[in-house]
Amino acid sequence: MPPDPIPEDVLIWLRRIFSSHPDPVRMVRRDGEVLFRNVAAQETVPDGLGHLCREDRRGRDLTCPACRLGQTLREGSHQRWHVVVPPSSEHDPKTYYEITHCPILDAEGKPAAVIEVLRDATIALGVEQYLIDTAESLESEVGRRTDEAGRLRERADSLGAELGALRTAQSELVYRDRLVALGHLVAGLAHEIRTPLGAVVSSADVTRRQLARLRDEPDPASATDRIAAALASLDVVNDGAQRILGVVRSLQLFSRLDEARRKEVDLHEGLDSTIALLGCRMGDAVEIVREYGEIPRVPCRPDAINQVFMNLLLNAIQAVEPRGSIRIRTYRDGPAVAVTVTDSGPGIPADVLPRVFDLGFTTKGPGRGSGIGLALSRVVLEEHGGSIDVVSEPGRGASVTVRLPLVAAEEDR
Amino acid sequence: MTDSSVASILILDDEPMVTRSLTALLQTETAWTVSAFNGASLALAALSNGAFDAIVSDFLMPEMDGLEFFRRVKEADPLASRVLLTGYADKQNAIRSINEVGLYQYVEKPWNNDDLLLVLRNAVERTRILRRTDDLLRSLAERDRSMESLRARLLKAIV
Repeated sequence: MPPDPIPEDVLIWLRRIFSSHPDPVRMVRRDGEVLFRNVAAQETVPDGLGHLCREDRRGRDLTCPACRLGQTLREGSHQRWHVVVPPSSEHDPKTYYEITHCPILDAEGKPAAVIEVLRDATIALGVEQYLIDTAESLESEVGRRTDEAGRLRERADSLGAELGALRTAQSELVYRDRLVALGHLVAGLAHEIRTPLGAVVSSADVTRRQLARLRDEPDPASATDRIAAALASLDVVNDGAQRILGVVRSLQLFSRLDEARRKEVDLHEGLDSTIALLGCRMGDAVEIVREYGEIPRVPCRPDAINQVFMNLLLNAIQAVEPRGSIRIRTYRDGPAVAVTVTDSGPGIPADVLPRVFDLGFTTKGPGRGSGIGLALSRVVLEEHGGSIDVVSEPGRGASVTVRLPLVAAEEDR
Repeated sequence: MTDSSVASILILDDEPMVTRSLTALLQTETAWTVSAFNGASLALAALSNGAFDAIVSDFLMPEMDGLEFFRRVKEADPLASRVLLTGYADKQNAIRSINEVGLYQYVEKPWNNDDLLLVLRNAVERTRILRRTDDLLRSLAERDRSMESLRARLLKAIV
């Protein structure tokens, strides 16, 4: 059944209606013949009228298989879809067309023809595509960032674990250091006690032997000799016992720092009495120079601080022996009072200087030092909120400065 | 040196208390000549002036440690018995010193006088035996040499 022709006056109206439409508009009959094209369509699709739709589009890449003309005719409802026109050269962009088919119904309500509108949708789709692309790239960026954040978190976790391990290792090292220091101290103390103890035990035994033989000694002169020898051995027993007592006392001070009471003390008194105590050990060959400044009374534990002075002065005496001079300077140093003991001894070698405060470290040899003095002094001063520093250049003597803060006194009041 | 001569003993300890004790002990219990020192250099000087049968030294000393001292003693008089008397109770030191300088004995402070006397008597006896053996070997070698020259002269006379 041939389709009804579209009346000429209708076509005239169609031309009037669509001629100025900027997009290409065509009317395609049910059998595919192109009945009408507006100006824009003539520019886009140069073939003349009377051709089939398929031929009309020949030479263009609007893909006929995607065409929904058949669907529009069957269903009698409008269809809209997009087609992509590949670029004619690599440098040109793709072109997108939005195609709309609107059915024209006949008297029976069946689609007799289709009005087709082509719209260049490149820009709109480009924007859309750009938005899609952007959204996708944002999504992937978000994904990437999320992954990165995950990795960073893992790294942070592992770093945290490493830090924990390092902290453990560090505390382990500090603990081991303390154990080593304690080991040195104990070994030094053992030596400090064993040596005089050896003398005590041996001399007590010699005394006993002399006395045992005295019982059967017929010769008065020999008896006198034995008594003298026994008394000399008892002197050694006494000396040894005193020495051991000294070691024990220094240990007691070490363990009883907290028990002692704080007092406001004139440091000059403590220095003077310490010097007086040490007088017998110095003789005339060691000169003590006092350079006492004007200093206020200092809050401290006098027995502990005097022990520090004792240690510093003993070190200085041993450094300058057999002769030399020791300078004691006291002065106000900001919020603290400072005492500097300088000796004219040989000085402390650079490699020894960092170790002078180590527990159990001594260069003096047994009978002269146990490596307790400076270590103990530092503990005492830290406990007082003060400090102790040693400065020395080999050949130019050593200088030890003790600083005690006055702040504690103000707090106490 | 013959057996009848008085044994001589050298004591080195930087602690005068120890040298006093040991000297008193040896003077009470033995007839030996006791030379006691509180510094290593004086002890080494004494060593170069005469032989000792036993040498007792401390380990930890300011001038030089017991090992270094014994190393020099060994060079000066390898036959003298060396006894380390130390308050530094450390097995490692004991092993090291026995291996390095060939100690005769290692005695810890505080020591027991009877034990120490036994160690020192044995040390003296050991040194004396070593010295006598050394003397005998020397005279044997001397006799060997004279025998050899006698044999050479004999051969010359006969041939």
